[in-house]
Parts: sequence; C-alpha cells; structure tokens
Amino acid sequence: MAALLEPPLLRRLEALAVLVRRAVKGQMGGERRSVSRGRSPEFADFRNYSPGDDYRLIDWNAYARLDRFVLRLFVAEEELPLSLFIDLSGSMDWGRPNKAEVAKRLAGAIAYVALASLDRVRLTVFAEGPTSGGAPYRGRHAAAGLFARIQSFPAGGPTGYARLVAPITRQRPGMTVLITDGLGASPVEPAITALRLARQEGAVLQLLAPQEVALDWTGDARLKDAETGLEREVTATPATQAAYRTALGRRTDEIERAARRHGLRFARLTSDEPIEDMVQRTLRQVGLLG
Amino acid sequence: MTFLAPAAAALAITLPVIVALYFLRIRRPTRVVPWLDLWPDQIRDRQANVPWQRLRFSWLLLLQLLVAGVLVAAAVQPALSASASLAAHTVVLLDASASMQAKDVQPSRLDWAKREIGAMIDQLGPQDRMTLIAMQSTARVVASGSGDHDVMHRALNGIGPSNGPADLSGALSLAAGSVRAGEDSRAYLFSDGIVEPLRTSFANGLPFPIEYHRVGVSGENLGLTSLTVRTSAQSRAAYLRVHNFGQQARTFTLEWRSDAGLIDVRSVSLAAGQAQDLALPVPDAANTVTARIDAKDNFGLDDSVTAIARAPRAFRVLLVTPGNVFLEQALRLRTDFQLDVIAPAAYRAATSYAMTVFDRFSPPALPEAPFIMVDPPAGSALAGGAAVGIGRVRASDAGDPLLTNVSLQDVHVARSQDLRASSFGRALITSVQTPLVLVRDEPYRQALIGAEPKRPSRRARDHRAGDRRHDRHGRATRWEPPPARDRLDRHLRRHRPARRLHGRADGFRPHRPLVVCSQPVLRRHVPAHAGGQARAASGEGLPHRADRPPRPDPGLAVDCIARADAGARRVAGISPWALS
Repeated sequence: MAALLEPPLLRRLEALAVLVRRAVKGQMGGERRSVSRGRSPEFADFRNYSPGDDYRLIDWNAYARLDRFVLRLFVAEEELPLSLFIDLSGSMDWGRPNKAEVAKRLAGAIAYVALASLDRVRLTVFAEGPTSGGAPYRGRHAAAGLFARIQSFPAGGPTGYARLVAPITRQRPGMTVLITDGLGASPVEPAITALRLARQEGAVLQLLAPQEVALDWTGDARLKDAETGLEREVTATPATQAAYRTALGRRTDEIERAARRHGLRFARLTSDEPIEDMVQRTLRQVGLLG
Repeated sequence: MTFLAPAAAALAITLPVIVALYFLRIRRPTRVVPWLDLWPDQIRDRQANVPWQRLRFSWLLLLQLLVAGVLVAAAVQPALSASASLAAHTVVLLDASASMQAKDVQPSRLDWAKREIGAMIDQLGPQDRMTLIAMQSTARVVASGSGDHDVMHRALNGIGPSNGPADLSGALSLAAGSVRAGEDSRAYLFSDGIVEPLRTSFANGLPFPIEYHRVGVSGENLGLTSLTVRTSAQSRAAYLRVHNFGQQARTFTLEWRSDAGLIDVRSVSLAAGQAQDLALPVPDAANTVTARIDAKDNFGLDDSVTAIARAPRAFRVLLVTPGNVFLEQALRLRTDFQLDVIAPAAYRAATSYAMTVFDRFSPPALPEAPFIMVDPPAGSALAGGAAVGIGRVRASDAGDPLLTNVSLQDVHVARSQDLRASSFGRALITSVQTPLVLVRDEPYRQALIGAEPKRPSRRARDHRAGDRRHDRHGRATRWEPPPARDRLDRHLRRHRPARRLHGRADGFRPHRPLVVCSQPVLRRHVPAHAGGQARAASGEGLPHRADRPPRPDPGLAVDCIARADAGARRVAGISPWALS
C-alpha cells in the first residue's frame, strides 16, 4: 500500500495548525488556550482567595498593597479535540482521481496538522452509517497508525447523513471537519444542524470529481447509480447537460447555505487538485488551517 | 417492363430490416454516476426493460427506406423492351415441324412464333422487304422479298404445322439464295429445335447475320416414335418404341388396345433421354392396334400411335407393255403385288387379275375391271391430243383422298398427251397445260395417265436445274449449274475409288460408304446413300485429294451432313444415282 501522504508534504504540514475561533476545553494538556485555568506562563486573571486554594498562587505583592489574599490565575493550555468525518459512500468511490482516495488523503493531511500540534484526533468514516476509527489519536507518533486506519476503510454503500447526528452530538465541544461530496438521497442538513447543536467549530469540505463538474461525455447512455444501483436511460444533449448542471449547483448551494447559516466553514474542492494546494490555499482561505 | 436480374429482388429484405431496427431499442452503454437524481428523467424506467418501442415517424427512417428501395430497384435491372429496327431485307425462317404443335406456350409454339413474325411484318417500313421461309420436311419460300403487309400476313397465316421434321439446311440454302450480295439483310430463325449445328457451321458461310428465337419453354416430352406390326406364320406382334426426350425420369401408363377392345395396360419407367422397345401381342381378330400413353406433356401428338394390322394380301397385277423397265420396277416395289408382264400381242382379257396396267397399248375392248392406262397410243379410244410440254405438276384437288400421303414436289413431267378433251373421268393430277392423270371410280377404279414414266432425260434434268438457276422472280441464284452426267460418270470411272469412308475415328459410321471425290465440282456437293435415304454433304471441310493425304479420319464434320430432300438435291444439282 502506498503511503497516504509523502514525507515532504508532511514536513510542510508541520508548520500549520488547526485554527479555532474560540478557546476550547480539552482533556489533556496541550498547546491550545483553554477556557479553564491552569499552569502556563500566560496571566489570565485575579480572584479572591478562598480556603483550600493553592497558596502557592497567592500574589504577595497584591496582599502588600491591598491587605487581602488574591490569587493569580493563568491560562490553561490544552489540546484541541478534532473530529474527522469522512464520507466513504458509493458516490465518493467515483471519479478520476477517485474522490474517496482524495478524501482519505485530505483527512490524513488535516489530521497530521492536528497531531503535530498535540491535538487529539478522532476519526469516523460513514456511508449508510458511521464507523468509528477507534480510540482518539494524539501525538505525532500516532500519525502512522491513523494513516493505516484511514486506508483500511473501503468505500461503498448509500449515504446516510441522518445517522451522523448521534455521534456528532455526543462529542465534546471542539473542531469537527466533515469531508463529503454532499450527494445522495439523504439530506445533509441534519448533520450540519447537529454540529451547531454540539457546539462544534466545524468545517464542511465538499469534494467533487472534475468529471462531475464538467461532463466529459455525450450521447446515449444507460446511467447506473453508484450507491443504489438504479438505472436510467439518458441521452446527454445540451438540454439534459444543462439540467444536470443546474441540479448539481442547487445541491451544492443548499449545503453551502446550511453551513453558513450554522456558522461553519465551507469549502468546495475538486479531486484533481493537489493535496498541498487544498491545504495551503483553500483551507487557509476559509480559516480552517493557519 | 422486364427485369434482367429478378433474383436481386431478394435484397428487398433490407426494407423490413431497416424498419425493424427502428422498432428495436438502442443498446446504450452503461455509465456509473454518483447520484442518479441529478439527471433528468427522460424515459421512464419501466420502458427501459422492453426490447422494442413504438415506431415513431422519423425523417431518417424515410430517407433510409428510400435509399434502400432505390438500390434494390437498381439491382434487379429493370429494362424496357424495344423493337430493333429491321434490316432492309429480313429473312424469316419459321420452323413448322411437328414439335411446333406443342402447347407449352399458348396457343401453340407455331402460333406463338407466327404472332411474333406478324409483329415483325407490321414493323416493315415502306422500303423494307421480307422473305418468309417455312421449314417443314421440305423448306419452301412462302413469301419472297415482299414489302406488302397484307401479302405477308396472308402467307404467314397459310403456314400450318406438319407432321415431319424441319429442313434447316434447305431453309438456309433458300435464305442464302434470296439475298443479293452486299444487301443489308438479317435472318431470324423461329424454332424450338437444337441450333448448335447452325452456330458452328452453317452460320459461318451465310451472307447475313442470323438471330435465333427459341420458341417454347419446356423440353419435356414423352413420345411413341414407332409402331410396326410384324406377321409370322404363327402369330402377329407389334413392336413399339417409346422415347423419353425430357430431362427427368418418367413413369407412365401404356394402354394397348385394338379395334376389338382393350388388350393390355402396363406401367413403364424411362430414365431421361432413354428409349425402350416393347413387343406386344396382336390378337388375331384385330385390324388396327393403338398404343396410348398418359404422357401429360405439352406435345400430345406423339402420345398415341395406331398401326394397321391387316394380314398381308397378295394382288395379281398384269402389266401389258412393249417393254418399260422403269414401270415394271416401280410396280415390283410393291411387295403385295404379284406382277405378270406380257407383251401386247399376248394380251387376253382375263378376270383373274386384280388390276391391269396397259403401257402404250390399248386393247380393243377395255376390261370391266380396275386398270391403269399409261400413255395410250394415238388413235386408240382413250388417246388424247398431241404431246405438250408440262410445267409445274400439282394436284387437281389437294384434299383428294387418293393423294393422301402423296407428295408431288418431286414429280417432274417433261411432256404429256393433251387430255383436256378427254371425258375419261375427273382430273386427279394436273398442270397448267393439261390434266396429267384422270381417274374414274365407278364401276371400277380406272386411271388414265398421259405421260410415260421413264428415266429422266438430260433435257428434263436441265429443265429442273433451270428452275434453280433463276428464282421465281428472275434473279440469278448463287448456285452453279449441276455437272453433266457424262462428266460425272467419266470422273467416277477415272478416279474410283477416290476415297471410301467406312467410318471415322470418333465413332461416326455412315450406313453406307461415303464416296468423296477430288473433282472440284464434286467437292462442293458430295452425296451418299445412307440407310436408303439420300444424304448430301456440303463441300466445307471435305478432304481434298491433292492437298490432303489419305488418312483414317478424313475430318468430315458430322454436322456438315444434312438430309438431302428434293430441294437440297436440286440445289446441289446431284442425283442419287450418281454415287450409288
């Protein structure tokens, strides 16, 4: 099996970090500012002493001026919980380059950025239903295991966004990245709504193949749905191609509008873009990485 | 309109095939798409599972059908029949043989050919001429060089079928003689027969192109070709020959009856082209025997044959003559005659003879019995007037039963007594100058002949040859005068045996030796006796003594031998006696 990401790319990814707009509370120490107070060089606030407090935190200078005990509080630095939801349904297993493979690599790149920043990465793939990628990964050394785990998932089956609601809402507040093509009979809206309800600072990355965006065939064909197997005879005339493009645009707009409405980042990617371009340009532009 | 290649009409199957292709659904390639709902639902899914669809109007279908139809129409090669213009002199040879009575074309082959010829007559222009030659056992010119439509139609309608073969060589000789050198002429042969010999040999020497129109569509025929009754001391038997002339084996029923009733019915099988001889008993009481087959072919004339089965009877005939070997020999040819020859002085009226022939003698009292008086002497009771020269001989009444099966074509009379004033009886055979044969039937059949039968004189031969030196229109023919008899005799005495052919390496054997001479005159026309029937050979291809050494196979082409009937002998100028 080829390596998911090349070492030069990984080295360049180490310079990036997942950007969050507000502090989040992690479970373990890290490099992120946390909403909780803890030990760090960065002063956060004062508060009155109450019995039981660590008297090592008493600001003796303030006691001299004010004659009462005041504690110095510092900002805690904790990890960022990052959840990756990767769509590996049948519609993603399509296109040149294959969307599922590109999605795996993109997820790997984002995960590596997080792992390099001592963030905690939880992986979930989904098709008809969600499949957990195992225990959370933390630390740069876990990247190899994460990559291997990503690559081990096959693609196929219908898409069920509604069944993502439960795993999303169970998460602690943090960052969630949803990589999907947004195509399928099931609407994406419930999953996006669940992100807001779970107080996730999320991003929706819609990944399409170039052959979907710009059709590369004309004439008569018997079309077969990659997820359901249903068939339909279609003659690709300019009229039908225009109707297709209209339907695809409508679906994409629906996803984007929903994401914006819930304060999520949104980016539209095509699978023929290099991973580095996606990471360095598109994801930085939308403020996911920095 | 006719079609030159009707088999190509099978290509018309492409038309329904094209329509069927429009009934069938297009077989589309399968493409996997991420999400089918992005595509418009053009065709309902349930229609995608049936292999055919409703035929809808399509300009493309119409165009394809039109192109295919045009191609099929071109492939069958339609053609319009157009009559070619006739030559300035058209020679039509019509086969009037027995086989032309076959009815495989309606109403019969002969009538069909006559209809075609009638159409040609109607095409004759004001300057065109036509010669019509009927081919029966003897070829004859029925209309010569005429451009009158009515005359030609009348001559054509006068041609009836005969029961004999067709004389092709004689007809071609007549046709060649009717055409002037350098004249724009063309011959049309209407026949149902075999024409290969015509193409190989005869056609080469003709001064005009000849076009063969085959009459009739079927060659299938089953025929009874001969029936003879032989009588022995103990019994009588009939010998029948059946021939299958067709290309298929046939099984048929042979019915054998006599005037006394049905004798036998048997089934006979014959392979294609096979002939079979059958011996059949003849009852003692039968006077006639008839064989009949249910051939069910187009030619019904030879499906029944009848023979007289009378017991042989002998007649005593008395010839009273001062001496006439020709008349005596002619009478002796009849095997049922017991001929007694006496001189006039010895004649006594006697009743024991069935018939008396008086040659140049008239008894004082004519007998009350059948007799023939030949050339009665002057001064006798039946004598006619002075002898006159006689031209063409013809029957006084063509339908006279006494002249049934008698042909006067070969009969030539140089001189005869003038019998116009005779009241002996009715004229049987006559000429323009005088009646030649008078007969009376009551109370006994008696005949009076004004001419003496004898060996043809040189003058008579010259007279016959003169008939051919100039045709009836006074035009000179191409034929040379016949060789004088003494010249022929001298040649034969000097050169005999010039060459005797007893057979050829390829198996052809004439019935009798064929004498081939080197004399230039004789090389042109070499006759021979074959089976008792005179045959003549054209000079083409015959060996020349001077330039060809004798060898077993002289190279005489079989198709150069043709039947020499009277017309051909006259044309060749050769009498059978010359080489007998």
